[in-house]
Amino acid sequence: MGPRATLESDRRRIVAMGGGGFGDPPGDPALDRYLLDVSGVAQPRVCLLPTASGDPEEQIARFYRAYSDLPCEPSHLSLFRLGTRPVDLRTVLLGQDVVYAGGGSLLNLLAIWRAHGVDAILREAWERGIVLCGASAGSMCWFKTGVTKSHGPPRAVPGLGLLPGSNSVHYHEEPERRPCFMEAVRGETAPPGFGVDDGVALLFAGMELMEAVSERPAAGAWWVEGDGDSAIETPLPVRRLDSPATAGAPLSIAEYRASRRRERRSRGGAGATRRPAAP
Amino acid sequence: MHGRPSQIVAFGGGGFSMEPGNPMLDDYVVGLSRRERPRVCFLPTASGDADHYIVRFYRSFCARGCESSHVSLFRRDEGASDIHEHVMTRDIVYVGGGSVISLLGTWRAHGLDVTLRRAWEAGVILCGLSAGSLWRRLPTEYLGQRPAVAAVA
Repeated sequence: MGPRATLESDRRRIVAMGGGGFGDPPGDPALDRYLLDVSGVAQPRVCLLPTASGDPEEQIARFYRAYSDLPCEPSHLSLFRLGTRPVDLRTVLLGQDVVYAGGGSLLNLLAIWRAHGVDAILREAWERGIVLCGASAGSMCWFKTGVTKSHGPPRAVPGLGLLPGSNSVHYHEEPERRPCFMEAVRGETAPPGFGVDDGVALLFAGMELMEAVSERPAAGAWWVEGDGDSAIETPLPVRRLDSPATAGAPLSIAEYRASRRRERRSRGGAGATRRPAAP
Repeated sequence: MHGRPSQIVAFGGGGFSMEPGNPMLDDYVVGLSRRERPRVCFLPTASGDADHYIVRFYRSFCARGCESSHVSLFRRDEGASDIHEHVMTRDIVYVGGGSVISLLGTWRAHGLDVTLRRAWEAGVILCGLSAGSLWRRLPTEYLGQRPAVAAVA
């Protein structure tokens, strides 16, 4: 293992949201402001990719309404309307400070990005330090595996794999995803990963989780991993966005997990499937 | 299965979405089905399942007395539980215009490309305009350019 990433040593950034931000009216701009802060730019260029919902005007309008009130330069890129608005995708995307993937169908998102070559451009953007972010399908797409309802019933499917773990979104808001996620992790069809509520965002530098932040009081995030015959959920510490930022050291899942394990053993509860507290 | 030859009707443009006042192309396709009340399914994938497009389809084809439906690949949790069976049991599949690259990527992800070929071989009439008419082997130089007219099979 090499030295761990810090916000200084690794410029690659992903902000993965369980839901919320501009995508969830009436919306609390705290998560949207957080994304802009992560970019480290005073007036960041923020580009919405509404691909996962088929570039609907309603989502695009909601994005502009929210971001035109914030210190940034918002724009969007519609892959369904390149015929009437031809652009060089690479130039547009690499010219951003933040690329925001909107929610919708994870399966369609990945298929359409690949068909247009956008997957490779986004990897390059990530390596250059452009913040990649998104909610719902726009969160799961960055991970190795996500739990999607793109086929109807929830199912674990591969994402772009920039981040090595798995991700399930709307963790308590759409409870039918959770058993699918737990089973996939337990049966190792998905790697261990993160269950994330609406209103919560995970910040990654490189592949390290730096922090989990929240714009809502009872919203949380859980690390989910297999443990023999069951899957275990461990709640992650979540910082409320109205409280001060931490020093920028990575949140070590391994260390955190080990300490939770010790706690459980001392209580004699190891191996049990833990339900997260109701939000 | 449907007792019809394999047929594709490729519009260069026109139909309910481009020429709402001129029903001739849509009437022609409906006539090919040789059915009193043909089952017509709209695939609005190339437009990203744009709501206004779907509404215009229903307005136009319900008024013709067709049994009308659509398949949304962006909201499958809300639609027909088995899209493949649904497509196979239609008389006509009507493909809307838009982005052909996005269309093909999405169809392949859902396995609908294979189902549409099977449907066509079984006598389901495939039709469409713009991106929806590019059914055949697609020269890559067409991709991302203005809608091109493909041959009728």
